[in-house]
Amino acid sequence: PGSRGLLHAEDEVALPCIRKLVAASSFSKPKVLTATSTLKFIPEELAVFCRDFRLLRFYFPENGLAPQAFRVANAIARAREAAAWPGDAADGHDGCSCPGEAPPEEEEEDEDEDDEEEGSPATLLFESLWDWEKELQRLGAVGWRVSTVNERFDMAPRLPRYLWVPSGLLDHDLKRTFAHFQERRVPRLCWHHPGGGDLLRAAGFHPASEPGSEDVRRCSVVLQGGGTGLGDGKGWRGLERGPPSPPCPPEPSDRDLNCLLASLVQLLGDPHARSLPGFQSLVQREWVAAGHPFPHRLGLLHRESPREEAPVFLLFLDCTWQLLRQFPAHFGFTEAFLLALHDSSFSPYFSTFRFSCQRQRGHGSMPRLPSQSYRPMGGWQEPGGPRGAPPACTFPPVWAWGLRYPRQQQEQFRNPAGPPAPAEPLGPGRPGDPHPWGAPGPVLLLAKGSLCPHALPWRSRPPPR
Amino acid sequence: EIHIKEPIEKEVNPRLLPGELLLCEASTVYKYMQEDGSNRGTYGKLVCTNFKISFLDDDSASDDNEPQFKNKIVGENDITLQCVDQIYGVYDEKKKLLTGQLRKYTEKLIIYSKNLRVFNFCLRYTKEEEVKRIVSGIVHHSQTPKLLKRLFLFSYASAAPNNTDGRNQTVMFETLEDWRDELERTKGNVKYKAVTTNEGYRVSEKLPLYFVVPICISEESILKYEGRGIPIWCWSCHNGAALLKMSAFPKEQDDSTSQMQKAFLDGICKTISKPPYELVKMEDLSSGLPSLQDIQTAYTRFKQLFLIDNSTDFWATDVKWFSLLESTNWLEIIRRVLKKAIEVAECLEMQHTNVLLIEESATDLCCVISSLVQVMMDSYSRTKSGFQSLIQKEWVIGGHSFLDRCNHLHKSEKEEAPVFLLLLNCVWQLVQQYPSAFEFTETYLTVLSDSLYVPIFSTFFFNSQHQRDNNASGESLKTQSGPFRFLTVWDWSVQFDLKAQAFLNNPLYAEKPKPDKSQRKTSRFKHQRQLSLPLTQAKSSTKRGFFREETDHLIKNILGKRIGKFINSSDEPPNSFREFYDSWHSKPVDYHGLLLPRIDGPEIKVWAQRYLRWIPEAQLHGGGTIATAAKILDLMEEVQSLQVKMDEEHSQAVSGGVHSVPMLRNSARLSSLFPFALLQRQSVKPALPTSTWKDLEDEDDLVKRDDEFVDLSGDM
Repeated sequence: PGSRGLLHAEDEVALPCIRKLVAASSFSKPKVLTATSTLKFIPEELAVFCRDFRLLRFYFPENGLAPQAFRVANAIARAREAAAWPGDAADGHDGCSCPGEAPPEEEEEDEDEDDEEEGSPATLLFESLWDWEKELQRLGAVGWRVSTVNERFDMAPRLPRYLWVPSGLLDHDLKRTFAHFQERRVPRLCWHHPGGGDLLRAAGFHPASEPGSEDVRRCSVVLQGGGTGLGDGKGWRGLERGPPSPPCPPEPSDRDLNCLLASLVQLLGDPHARSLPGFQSLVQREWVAAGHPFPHRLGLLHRESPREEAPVFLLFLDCTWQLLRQFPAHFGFTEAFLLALHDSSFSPYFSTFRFSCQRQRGHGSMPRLPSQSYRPMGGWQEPGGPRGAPPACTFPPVWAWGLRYPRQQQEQFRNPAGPPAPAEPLGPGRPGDPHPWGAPGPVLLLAKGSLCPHALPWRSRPPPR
Repeated sequence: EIHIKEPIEKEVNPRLLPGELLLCEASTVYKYMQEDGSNRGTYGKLVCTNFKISFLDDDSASDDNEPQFKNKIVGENDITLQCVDQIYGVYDEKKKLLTGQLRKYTEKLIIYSKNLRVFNFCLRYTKEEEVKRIVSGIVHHSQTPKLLKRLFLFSYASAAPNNTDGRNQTVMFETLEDWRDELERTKGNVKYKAVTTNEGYRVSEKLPLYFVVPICISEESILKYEGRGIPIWCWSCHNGAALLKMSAFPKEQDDSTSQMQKAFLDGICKTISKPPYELVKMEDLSSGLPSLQDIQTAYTRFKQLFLIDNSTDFWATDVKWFSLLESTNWLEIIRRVLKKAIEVAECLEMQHTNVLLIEESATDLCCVISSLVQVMMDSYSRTKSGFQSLIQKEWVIGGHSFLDRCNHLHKSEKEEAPVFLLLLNCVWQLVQQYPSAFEFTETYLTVLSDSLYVPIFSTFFFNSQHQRDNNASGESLKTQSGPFRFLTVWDWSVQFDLKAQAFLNNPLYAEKPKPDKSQRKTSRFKHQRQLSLPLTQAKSSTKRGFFREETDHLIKNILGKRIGKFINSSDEPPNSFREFYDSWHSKPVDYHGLLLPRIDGPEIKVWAQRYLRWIPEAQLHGGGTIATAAKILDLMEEVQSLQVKMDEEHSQAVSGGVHSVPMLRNSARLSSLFPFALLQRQSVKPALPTSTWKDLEDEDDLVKRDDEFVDLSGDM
């Protein structure tokens, strides 16, 4: 395959993108092929059902090619299985590794051409401290700071390297709150509304948590943070409905529906999130950095566990599409962009969807000899923060559209009828008046589909002294 | 010119049209704003005339907020008597349908209109005498059987003689000339002729005065069975193939009669299948298409989804929206009708055969199919005057029983069926799929559908040309002076001023190709899946059959089914319809050529403008297609003004604007219901029972919330 055509020729499909492989012959029942179930007949036809809804059908005419047909069918079945990455289900802390294969060769060739990605300067990957600082500044979230307490992922392995926490909370105190939350996912800021409300996300409280009075105070500080609290709720109609009932247990983990809701709320409330770079940054922060387990949810793993597969991210894209259709003039990107993102989620060559969290992403793509193969993606790596550049990714992020889409097609990603640079606010559902500073509003918790005023389970007890 | 009497003094008086009489009235009626359950509303007077039911707002004096799009005949708070669908009274919190005699005073009156508005009136504060008079008056005048001559049409025509001799560009098909011109335009005059056999309606009262038949058909055979069994010409395709219709013989008990009829039909068929005529394909519309009863049932269910009493109703319906919509079957009927029209188009276009549509009366589904085929195949029918001429030809003169199908006289519900609305719904599908191919807008179609219930135009208030001529002559009526000169609906200036008429014209219409090709790049929307795929060349036919590109359709059919099925698919007889449809859709579209609708499920949509326009809950502020359209129009205006500047540079005379573009500034302030959303009212969705809103704040806060907003753009 040619370097550019590799992932997107019409008759080609990336192996992980194959959902089902079926062989058929007029003499026997059609058979679903896997690596283990071997073919017992000469196939006349091979149907490849792709995850991007394509169906490729190959017909083998009876001209003596029968043995090849047999071999090809079995080979595809095995190759497909082999291409699925071993998975990180049992990843613990170091179970994941880069598959043996070398990263795509053509990367090097393309590098120069893509140095000047048009859309790239504004897309924040949230790998570096600088990105977090910059975004916090854009939000104007006074009272919040970037904490580096998890910089080595030793506080919470599946949380991002940097966290937005209240300025008033010392790292020393913050460290003690981790244990009270499942998967150690503490409450942290997602978005600050110009009206004063803050959107926070966190996992559920750890069932074994036995907080002392100090802990309660710390948690309260986290939640009361910059002024108001978790899901201010004012005017965000979207929050009213709550999430659809999830296929798996409700959201104790803060890695699925929280991603969905946090990003949808921002899409509704923040015009910046509706610009193309803003949307990419949003996905990067609320999904990629936040640790959405893409390989599990997209069903790309070798040991397919149907219980873990759930198209949460695709649901988000579907929701976004509805908004896009209803308010075409408010979005800087197009349906074509969403479609490209959808299709790319099944491609194996992007760091974005290959890994389950930032830490793994760093590990998985860390070459064995970092100094030798260190290759920053041209233009994509923001200048490193004061703590030095984070480890480079050998897999490009999905946002490197130039690697796969010619300029002409990338132009279709931008909505010509979209808003001018600073987007107009949406009509309905405008948030409430600014809260008077210093008078914190109620802290609402979104749980089981509705907003509840009590954020802390200990509130019912008499307030500790 | 229509004279509307201005209110004489401050006291609110109904604006009466010429010939309009006040029948009864009631004061201190409270009209709810239907959209919220908050009981907000206004006091006023409810009146019933021989034309309309009207609510006169007590403080309607403030007219400074004139809507851009206003109907001069039927105001915002008017319902014409023919537009009333159902009337309910509320007794002890229970809704009861009001049809005839009233037993008790009703506290509340709910009127559903045929253009899907819901009026809620509270009569609690009205004098009992007045309640009785107004309710029974409204029920009597709008719901009970009526004589044709009592239609407002006649009073209006005698009081306001139509002096508009200005025939607009619409061809009325009332004269032999019109038919001959149409034959000439479509080059059908070689094999078909306009006949005068029906002068004096001696053939049939159902047939128009003039019509067109194959040249080989003799006058005797036309006369033999009152025009039944005679192929009547509708339209000729560019390749000479013609679309014909025939009214079938009713099922005969008598054997010998049916033998004779059969022999007659065979003879006719033989004559018209011989050269120079093309082969003829019979298309019996009674099989393979929904019956009138099916259509009526589906539409009755469908419209109920939009007749919403209050906000609570809306949210209750909304929860089950998808399954409710599916259960009405209305969209499926639209799809089947469109499919049939494509099949007919395929015969004409690809197989060069004549198509003979057969239906008992040849005035219902025949009209739908033949109109649709012409809209698809003849770009003239996609202009405004062309479309109007088409409606004249196939429906008004063609003899569609508007009076019976709309049940304007409340004679028999059995005859009622929204056949014409079905056509408009189908055409709307085409308009939304190919907006640039039509000179008119969806707003045009919407107001056309509204005009179905405005009895000042003769267009939709007769069953046939004969009935109209007969009643217009005035001979049968001694008291009134005839002949009447009725207005036609195609004179849009009667209902709309120039500014409002601009909404009916599509500023983005791709006009007939001009020589320079650079501008006429067909920017057809590729099938959506292809957007994300690379710009590869479209599959050429050199690919072998089994590698043929798979369409979404096939995938849908195949996914989940046993694979063995598609192995055999090559053995099936070639489906020429599918081939025609697929091959047309794989090529770039020519807005002035053949136009085929997509009939895949997701492409058949609800005509939101018509059905949702009175439901504030369903509107998108600053959203919908209107937002994009506004943007494009802005650009167009800019281009035009630049053009003007350039012309001035060359010191050439500047002609007037190409289109008068309606004011669509600031799309964020427009709603998707534009131009029908007169007031941008919002309503609060009732909180879900699980929600804890109420625990947090008292209700006042909830109400206030609507008014609060922060300008995000300023803060950013």
